[in-house]
Amino acid sequence: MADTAPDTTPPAATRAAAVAPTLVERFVASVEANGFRVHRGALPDIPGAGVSVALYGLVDSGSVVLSSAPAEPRANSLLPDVHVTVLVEDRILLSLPDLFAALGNGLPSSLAIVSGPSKSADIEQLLAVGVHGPKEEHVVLLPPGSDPGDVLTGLTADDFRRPVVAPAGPAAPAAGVGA
Amino acid sequence: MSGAAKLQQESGSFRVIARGKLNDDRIQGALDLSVSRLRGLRLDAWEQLDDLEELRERAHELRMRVVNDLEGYLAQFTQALEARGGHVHRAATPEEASAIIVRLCQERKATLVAKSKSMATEEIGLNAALEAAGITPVETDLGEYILQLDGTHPVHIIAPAIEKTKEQIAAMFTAIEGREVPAELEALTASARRQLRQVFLDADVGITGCNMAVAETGTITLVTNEGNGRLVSSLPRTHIAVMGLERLVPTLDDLSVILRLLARSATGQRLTSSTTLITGPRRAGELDGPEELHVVVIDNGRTNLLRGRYKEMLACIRCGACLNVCPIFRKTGGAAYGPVYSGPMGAVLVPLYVGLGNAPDLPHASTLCGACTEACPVKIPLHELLLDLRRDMVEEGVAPRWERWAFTAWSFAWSTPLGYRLSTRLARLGQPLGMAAGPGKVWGAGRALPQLARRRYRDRPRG
Amino acid sequence: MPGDGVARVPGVSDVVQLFATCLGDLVFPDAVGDAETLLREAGFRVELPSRQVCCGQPAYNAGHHAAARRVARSFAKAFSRSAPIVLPSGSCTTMVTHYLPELLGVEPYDVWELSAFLDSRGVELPRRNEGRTIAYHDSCHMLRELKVSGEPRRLLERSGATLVELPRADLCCGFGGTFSVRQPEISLSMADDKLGGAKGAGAEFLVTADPGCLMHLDGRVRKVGGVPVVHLATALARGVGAAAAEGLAAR
Repeated sequence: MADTAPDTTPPAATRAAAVAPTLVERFVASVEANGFRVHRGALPDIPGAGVSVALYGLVDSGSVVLSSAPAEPRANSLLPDVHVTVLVEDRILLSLPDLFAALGNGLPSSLAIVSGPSKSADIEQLLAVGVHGPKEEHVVLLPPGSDPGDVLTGLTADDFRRPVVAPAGPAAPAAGVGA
Repeated sequence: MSGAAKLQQESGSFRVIARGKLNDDRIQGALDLSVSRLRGLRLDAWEQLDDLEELRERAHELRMRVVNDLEGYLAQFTQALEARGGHVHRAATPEEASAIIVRLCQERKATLVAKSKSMATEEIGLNAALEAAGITPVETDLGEYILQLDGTHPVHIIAPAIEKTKEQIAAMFTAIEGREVPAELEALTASARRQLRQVFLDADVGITGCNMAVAETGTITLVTNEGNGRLVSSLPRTHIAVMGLERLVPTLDDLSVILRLLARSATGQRLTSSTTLITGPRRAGELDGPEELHVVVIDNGRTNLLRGRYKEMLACIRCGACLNVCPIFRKTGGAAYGPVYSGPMGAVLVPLYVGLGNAPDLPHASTLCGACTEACPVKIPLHELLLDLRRDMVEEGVAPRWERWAFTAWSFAWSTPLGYRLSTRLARLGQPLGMAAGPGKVWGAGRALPQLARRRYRDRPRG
Repeated sequence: MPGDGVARVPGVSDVVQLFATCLGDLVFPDAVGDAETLLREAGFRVELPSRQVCCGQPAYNAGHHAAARRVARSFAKAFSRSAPIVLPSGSCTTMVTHYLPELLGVEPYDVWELSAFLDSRGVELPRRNEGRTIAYHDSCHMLRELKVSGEPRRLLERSGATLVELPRADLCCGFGGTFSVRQPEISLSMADDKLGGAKGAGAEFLVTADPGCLMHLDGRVRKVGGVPVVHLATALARGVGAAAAEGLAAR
């Protein structure tokens, strides 16, 4: 850099603000550490993906919080190989105590705090992903104040009423199971 | 006739099973690898918590608050859950608990039951009871499923199939699928997913455990990494959750304290992939979720622990941290302790559940090193409870008579300096003989015997 | 408090009571002598109360409280409260500190494990272990009950030793009192892990401050060979090399 270049260093206060990560950035780092893939503004094009709209996101544990509701069947986040969660940024909270404070006593029938794809280390302590639940977890972040319906255009109520159908596979091993 | 897990064990069985494990290098390697890894993960995760000690104190306090008023909190839980349309059933014994569950299944004409991990269901021997009634239970936790196929018991409460190899698992899956499943992780995972997906979809009833229930809201909590807890509790029409009667926290805030410690202590994770709070069956307008939720609350010896200091053991949150630091568990694995509970927590719980005389090896299957107490997220003084159990064994007459006689005689001899001098002079004279029998012989099999010095220190001239 | 390395100049009124412990008195009198030597070199007057016997721990840990109490009373009769009590044993120090007072219904004692005492008084040590590579084994009592782990290491370093850390230093050596004969196979496997760890770490000697651990590990080395095991007091008072030469450390 030339010695005579103008000093473009921002003043100290701005520098400090620029350096400290925002809640959203911390959330992104946290969920990415848990294996989520993060998108901004629009759904990734993944055929067959199950889509949920999250109630909240949690920074400390790197989680999305899914509440059962008429428009939010549980199966969407359980059966498909890929699961996508739509989360509006102003619904990001820090931690579990904040979540429970926000919920008060109004708990849904099922509140799923999802912190990564399905995994197991039951085979020789090796990490296997996608044992039963989704193999991939994605989060789509929308700017504060957004309506998730905006990105869900093109998806109809019928998409949320996906019949619970299994992929073709071998019969349940009922006969072969011992005590 | 009960299929309840046989927690009782014969005196001497611990040593016999331990010998077998010690002689198997592969098992020694697998055990060391697993527990070292899990211990390391917990230590890293604990280090991330700025308020670790405060959290542990709070966790201990809130769990003891529940233990000191179990009926009060159970009543609160029952009322809250029933207001949401759930049902609570109480069972004192394994037989009662299994009977309730079998009846619920039969009333709903269930033939296939999907299960996610629950040590409580193993305690009560639920699978045997269901099968006897013509109902097929399928374990959906990968490790438990593997063991179910194998016909063996879990050997670690978090990593149940620690001792199985990929090759052994591939052989089992190949037999089921009717085609070659290679002994590679991806292929084995895909095979398990195929096999169990159908079970989730076809099961009439889903049976889970419950890690913690929240009294204030009537909520039960399922904690898994595989996602099978959610699948089992979402797809079948009826969900039955089985829980020990002490597995409660008073409020949601209290739940957050436990959840912040649980996964970190078990696997080093901040939270498991799937932590689910269930408050009642599906609600109006919901497209899926169980139509009915039944919680079966079991006693099965837990109220035995309410005496004295032992009630601290009821605070246990089943994280497995103590197993991963225990030097004896590292050598033996879970089988030596019994089919359900092992390691330090098992060594305390099982004698209290079944009576000291029915598990006399367990309180002594320890060097009292204290690593378990150090590792416990809810600060249960595990090694001190083992010491208390040893005292009770003596006071209840479970300790062998010859042992009591030996210590009594020794204590009289050594209660005075003169007695000490005489007895140690005699011991020195009889040293060669004395060491050829009893404890001396056992010691001498692997170690040189300690030699009594020619002159005691006290007898040396003092300048 | 840990010493600040300043040489002390003790007054002649600095008295300590030495508790040899039963294992020390009967099996490891040389280590007890070494402990006394260290205390005298540091300028203390050492009393050996003649009525001392045993703290009662073997019975206590096996659940025999009545027997333990009977023996522990001899401790209360032997030791006064006028001077600190020093022991060359972490496990006996734990017994006297944490369990004996409640067992007998007496006030707590001013009791110290040897290395904690020496370190707290800022004792200087001759460099008898210059050029020696030593691994120190924490006994479980000292590590977890007394929380004394830095002190022995500091003293060894001040004596000139190069310390190497054992792998999995948190793991028990496998003695555990009656455990050593109730579960001998497990006990020996744990000893072998500990000794193998010392060898792998490149230690010439393994030092421990607990006669129980010492008896178990040294016994194993005498049977199957391995890194020689030495009591901390011996390592500091004579040096590990001299100890070996004097036949106090098996190979």
